[in-house]
Amino acid sequence: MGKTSQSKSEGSERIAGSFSTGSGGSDASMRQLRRILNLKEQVLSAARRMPLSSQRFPWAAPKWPASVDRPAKESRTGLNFDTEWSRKYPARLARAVVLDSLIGPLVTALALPEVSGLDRLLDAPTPLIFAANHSSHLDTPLLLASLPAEIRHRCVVAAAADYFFDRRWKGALSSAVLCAIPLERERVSRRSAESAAGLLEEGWNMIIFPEGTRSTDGWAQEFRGGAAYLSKRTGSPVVPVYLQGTRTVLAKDARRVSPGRTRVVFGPVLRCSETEDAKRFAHRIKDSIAELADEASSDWWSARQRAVRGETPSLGGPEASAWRRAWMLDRHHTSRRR
Amino acid sequence: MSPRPGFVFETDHSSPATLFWHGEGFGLERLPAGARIIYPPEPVDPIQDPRTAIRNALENPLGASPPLSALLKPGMRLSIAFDDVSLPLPPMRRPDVRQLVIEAVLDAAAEAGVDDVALIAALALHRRMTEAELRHALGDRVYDAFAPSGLLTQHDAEDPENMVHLGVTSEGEDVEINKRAATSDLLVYVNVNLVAMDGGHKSVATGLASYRSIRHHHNVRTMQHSRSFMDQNHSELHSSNWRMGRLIAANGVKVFQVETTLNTDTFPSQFRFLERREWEWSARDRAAFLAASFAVDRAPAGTTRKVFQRIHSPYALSSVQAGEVEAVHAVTTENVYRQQLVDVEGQTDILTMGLPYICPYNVGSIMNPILVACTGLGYMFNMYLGKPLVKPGGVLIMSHPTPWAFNPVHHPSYIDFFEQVLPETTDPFKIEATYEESFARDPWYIHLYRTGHAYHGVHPFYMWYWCAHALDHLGAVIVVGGDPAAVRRLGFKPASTLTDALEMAEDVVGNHPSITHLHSPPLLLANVH
Repeated sequence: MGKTSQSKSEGSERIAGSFSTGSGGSDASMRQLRRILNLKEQVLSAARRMPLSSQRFPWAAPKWPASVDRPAKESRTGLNFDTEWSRKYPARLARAVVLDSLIGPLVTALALPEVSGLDRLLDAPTPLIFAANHSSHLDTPLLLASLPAEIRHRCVVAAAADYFFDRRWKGALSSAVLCAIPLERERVSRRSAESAAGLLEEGWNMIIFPEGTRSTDGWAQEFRGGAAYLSKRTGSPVVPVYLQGTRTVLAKDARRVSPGRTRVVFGPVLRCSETEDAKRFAHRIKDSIAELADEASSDWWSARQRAVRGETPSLGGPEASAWRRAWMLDRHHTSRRR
Repeated sequence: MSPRPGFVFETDHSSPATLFWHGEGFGLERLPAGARIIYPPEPVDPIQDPRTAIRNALENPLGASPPLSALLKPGMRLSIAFDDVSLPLPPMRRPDVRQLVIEAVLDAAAEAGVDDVALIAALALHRRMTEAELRHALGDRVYDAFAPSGLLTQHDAEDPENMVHLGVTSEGEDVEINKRAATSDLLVYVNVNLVAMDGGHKSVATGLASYRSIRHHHNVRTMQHSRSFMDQNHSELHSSNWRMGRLIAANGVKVFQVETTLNTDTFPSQFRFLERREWEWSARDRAAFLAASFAVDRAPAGTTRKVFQRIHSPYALSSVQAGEVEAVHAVTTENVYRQQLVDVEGQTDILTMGLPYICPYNVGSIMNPILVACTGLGYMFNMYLGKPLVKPGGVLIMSHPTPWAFNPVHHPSYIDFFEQVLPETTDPFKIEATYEESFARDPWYIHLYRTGHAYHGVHPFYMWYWCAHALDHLGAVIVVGGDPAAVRRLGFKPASTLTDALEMAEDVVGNHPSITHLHSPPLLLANVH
């Protein structure tokens, strides 16, 4: 190897020399050219000496011994996706800029939200769990855009682990832009519950959609107990939120956005009492959102009166055939107070 | 994924090179095909909520002991002793487990209205801890509450006024321990069990004892009959401490023992390649290894030492148990075994090992040749249950630079031991009979031990005694990459490379020897069948 590099080096000088004679260039440029050629030779020579060229450990990856079983690789997607980086200060700062200067204005322009009930958050102790109905991908950015900045900038979004975190790029994007954390849809496992509770205990507010997935027909689906459980476990109060109209802007499976009007109604802060279990509390959250929906469709006093009488329209819609539910939904929305 | 157990790997021609510690550095060595490598188990899962686990342990004690809260009464005299800087290794990240336990004990004492509380660092004959080390072990809250008023003390084995002689065991062993501890209504001992040898009655009977007492088990005969130190049932060191511990209890000293075990998550993530099996090294691990090797090779020795000595281990609490000493220690030992034990079939002709930059006696200091010998022959050789990993007459090959260098503040008597004693003889029995007394009674060493940060004058002798079993058992000891003069002074053979060392070893054990490598870190304990 030494001989080879030496002869190559000599060859380079010869080439440089002939170049000099033939071109008649200045001495300075010749010296520079020689330096470059020598440097190249030195680098190549060093590379040849380096074990890298011989592909040997540790320069190259080791061979896995045949006698040793390979352990199953732990998945780094879904629930195992690491989102901690997205809650570090640089990521928070970048997200705040994106949310406040790009996503917020864009959502406002597309959905023209009418936000009410924010006064209910003024004296609410943070962290808060925002539990909302869910019928569109627009719900999360709309809700984030509607929150006061101090809450929005310290808020995580519970997102379906099997949808938003099934690919690493999706997980990274969701975490970076929305500060999403992976959570199971069906039943919150102990691990993810501890992770979510840990974030609440660290002071992070949380947006959670108790239905677990977007509504297919516009009516709310069964509420799962995740938000109620986390509230009971951590003592963090729940703020029910009713989102209206997002489905008309961006429905499930829709390929394009149709600008329209939406409403975001923040309800009173709810706390789980000591004697109340998570299941009953989950029902109370759902009832409260139903009252907000009623309030959005009529007025606060009428809605309160119906609530007292137990006549609040169900959030899940009537038990009827699909077309009748669709029909009723249309009536439900068109009856809203303008 | 649950942690994988340790296992014995047999190398072939395609096996990657194997990591060897080499003091304040490391390297990859290729072992001959057919050699065995013992890989340690992966770190066990830590306790998620250590503070709650500690409170539970204090209130649900093992053995015939009431809960801690029931033992605490207003007006009582409470002493809390704790392990010194020699544990754990490397020092663990804050909060140290001793801080967590001591804060829990003090919380309980405060609730019970106990006013007379003192903390004692159980140094035995080790050097005194610095303020920074005490703060690290205890936390600032505890240090600031007790140190300014003199209620945080360090055990002084040479202070006759603060020692009390409790009696003599059935084997004629003097038991003399710290007076404050002995005269307290309750002595809570807070222990860190890094290896199976730690803890039990050894905590009080050694940690709070005087030279007069310690010499009964820290001697050549006891060390040679401890096979190994990690096996309570076959350790004379253990038996002697147990006799003393029972005598201490019989004298009315009520000990509430709190023992903790740590998992073997020993190095921070930038050094994680040290703990991984070589074939599992990712590109990041290989890059970290190459970068670290490059830096270590080129940096001045002092800088490298400072960097390594600043490493704080991410150790995590794997168990905590409290109550009566023997009941607690039985459970603790099981937990240590759960973490460290690896089954190994049969002994080997040649045992190879890389020695790290740190041992219990050079925290914040240099690992001098005597400590190199003690780490290899005293500790690593003894990491076995059943039979030693090496056959009788076999060869131990250690990799360490073994510099002829000492820290004069920490190890003054080591210098004289190396310069005056070892040139005369390396026979532990002769050394013990001829030189020990003069070093142990030397007033200058005693002064440095009591007022400075020096190990006791007798300490280098104990280091040599720890080697006695291995020296008796082995046919030769070869040090790879060590200072030849220092290695020869120890009575060992120097070798430039592992290949040379293996060739030299064949001269002792014959051709085609069996070779076994002890892969460390982290620590492992070989259960040799």
